[in-house]
Amino acid sequence: MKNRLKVLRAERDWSQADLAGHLDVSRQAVNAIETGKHDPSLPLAFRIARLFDMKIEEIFNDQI
Amino acid sequence: MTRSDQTSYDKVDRPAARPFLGQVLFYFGFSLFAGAIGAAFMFMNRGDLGGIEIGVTAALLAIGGGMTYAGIRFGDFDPPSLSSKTGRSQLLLLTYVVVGGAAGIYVNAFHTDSILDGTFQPSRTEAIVALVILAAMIPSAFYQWRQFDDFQKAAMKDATFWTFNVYFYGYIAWVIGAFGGIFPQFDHQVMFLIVTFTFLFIWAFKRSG
Repeated sequence: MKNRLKVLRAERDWSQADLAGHLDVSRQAVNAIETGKHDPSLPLAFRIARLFDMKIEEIFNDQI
Repeated sequence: MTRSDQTSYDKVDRPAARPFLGQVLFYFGFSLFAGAIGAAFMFMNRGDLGGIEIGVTAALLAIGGGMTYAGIRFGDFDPPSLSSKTGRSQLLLLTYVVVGGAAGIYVNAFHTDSILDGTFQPSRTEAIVALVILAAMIPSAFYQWRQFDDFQKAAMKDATFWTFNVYFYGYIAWVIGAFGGIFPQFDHQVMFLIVTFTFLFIWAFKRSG
């Protein structure tokens, strides 16, 4: 699944470790989501959306 | 250079192969290191700690220690701490590594010969200690599962799926093959090692992202 996580993180000047800390997940989890190797669970997708104050579908997209 | 520039070229896009290599180097290196210490005790117990034995042990210690160090450098492990789920999970994992290493040293030091010749029989005290440690693993594993993020859980589920299939079909195939005279007699210890390393390999591969 495509996502804008890397762009959103870069806009805030966060490292993967910074974002992992905000979400209480491992850095590897952030890396795997950003590279599309792992689709987050629904609870984690909601946490990500809340963190960036966006809707889930504004961050994740299965159409492109 | 801004922080984002640094992270872009440093940790952000780190390829998956490097963390995977780090995981493999760390666990295999530590196992080799602990095994070499146990072997040194075994040679001393036998009273045949000669030049060759000292040389082999020293070489294994150096290789195992080097692999462990390289694993820590390459692996980019999440830092152990009590303040986050990932940190607590890493603390538990480190505890397992230390307990496993200590157990490996003890078994290598005092039971290698009896295991190899098939006469291994732990004392009552040793059996009780082993059972207490193994019993503690159940609540510990339950607690650790609650600390895993969903990426870690996905890696564990993938590893469990493949391990189960290797065990289920591998066991049946081996037993049938042994009855048919194609394979050697079924060996539980070898099967244990096969499923253990299957799990570790798949887990490390998936976990590396």
